Amino acid sequence: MSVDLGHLDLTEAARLVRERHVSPIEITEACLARIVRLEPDLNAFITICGEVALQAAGRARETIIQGGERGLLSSMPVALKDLFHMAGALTTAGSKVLANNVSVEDAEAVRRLRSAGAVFLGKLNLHEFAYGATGVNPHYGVVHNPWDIDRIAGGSSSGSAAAVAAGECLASLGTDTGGSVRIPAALCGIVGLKPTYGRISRRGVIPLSWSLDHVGTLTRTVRDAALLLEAVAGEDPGDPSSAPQPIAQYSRRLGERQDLKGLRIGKPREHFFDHIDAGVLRAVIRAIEKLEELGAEVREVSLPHIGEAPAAVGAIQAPEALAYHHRWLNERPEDYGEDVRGRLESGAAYLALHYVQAQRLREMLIREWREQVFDRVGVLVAPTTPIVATPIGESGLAVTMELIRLTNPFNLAGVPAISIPCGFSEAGLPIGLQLAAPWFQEAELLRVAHVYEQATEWRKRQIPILSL
Amino acid sequence: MQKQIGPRTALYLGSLARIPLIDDGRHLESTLRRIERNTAALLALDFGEAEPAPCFIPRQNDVS
Repeated sequence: MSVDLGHLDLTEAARLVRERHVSPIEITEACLARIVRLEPDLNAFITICGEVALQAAGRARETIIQGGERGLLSSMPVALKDLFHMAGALTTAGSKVLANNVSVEDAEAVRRLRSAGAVFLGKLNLHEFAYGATGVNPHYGVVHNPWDIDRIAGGSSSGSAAAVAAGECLASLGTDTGGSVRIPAALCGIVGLKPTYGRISRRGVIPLSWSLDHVGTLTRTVRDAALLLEAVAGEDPGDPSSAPQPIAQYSRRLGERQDLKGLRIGKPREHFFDHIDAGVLRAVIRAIEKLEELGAEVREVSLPHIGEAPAAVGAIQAPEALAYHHRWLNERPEDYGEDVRGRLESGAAYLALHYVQAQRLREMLIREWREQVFDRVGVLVAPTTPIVATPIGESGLAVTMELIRLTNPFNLAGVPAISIPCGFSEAGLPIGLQLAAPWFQEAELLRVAHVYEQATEWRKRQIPILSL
Repeated sequence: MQKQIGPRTALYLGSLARIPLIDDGRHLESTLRRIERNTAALLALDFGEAEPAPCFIPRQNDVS
């Protein structure tokens, strides 16, 4: 049986392997063939581990032939943002600073993926040290958007989104400090999930900003996001921010109900619908109408202080990032790209006053959302980004600031948020719908996203580059 | 009123943080102005009795 990666998602591929319709080697070879064909245009990978992946797929095939259990992910080829340590592989963080950095052990999330049967295809390109939302990387090249290779893929998990969208791998892990999973997912037309802060271990992942960093998943479908979350989530005593809350069987919970009756969805009155590109706004409004058709009651909610959230994220992120990079920045500043070096320097310009007031705002915002928002609605809805993917030559700091404006409030609050495809611009570029839920309510968030996804056809649109 | 931050102040901040600055601090000078603009509303908020959020928040916010 030949493997068509055009529409195949992780869940379906895993089923085909489990039921022996295809072998792990065939799936891995199909991904590697895609990589060979598309990488000259996309530049999504920094390191490709083809031989190691094929050896792992071969071992998986033997296990399956002998009737052994291969775990939740059944030998599925996945890839990792190059911030995740993977034993024996280079982990560059997209920077010259770590160009020769070989990891000695797996990050905890990588270890869990490996235990679940994943096969690793390689390490994915990103905005240097995850400090930017465009994926324009001066050391490893720009990641190109599969929908239009003259445009950015978004970031910072740029390669993670481009590779999944183009079928170079079936799923990937990314990180999200201000939107770095959801933004590229929206711009590349796939699903990006940032779970609750503490839900997935950060141990073994190079940090950007400890108190805002989240590990997240990039997948073709919501059910894949549920499956991947199930594989990697859970308490890790080695990560001080890891949460002890039990994890659910997220993929099984998706099928509990096929409508949204009884669900109240909050449409924020402030911030999230201000200064949105007309095409993006039209698509998101249509999506909200669809949610109503599916039975949800949509009501406006007020989010006091939300307008100050992006400034507070900046005041926390920049000093924390500078603290992590301080020694390297002092000793080898020329090894950083100019934009990231400039952003790190800005950490020196924030006062301690800014940092503390930002943390106070965070506390106020969390309390208000808990007491005044999530007691009235089960889910919040908003655009993921106010704009679609921009041309590569026009993607400086101003574009990054615009791209993160609607995603970073959810990092500040630490609530789970997901981006799912909800339409296309007139130029054929993907648009993302963002949904957010209360802390640790990933099961309900995924269910709502799944019901919407199943009621629409956006995920089925073929990327032009794939039909060439 | 918008305060003007001179290159000496910018360089001093670089020195204080012990990092060599791009372009002798000219970049940081404009960054300072941007931060000043962006955080004006944040600093003007009435925080009441709110305390800073602990850095590691999930255990504080379990509503499940």
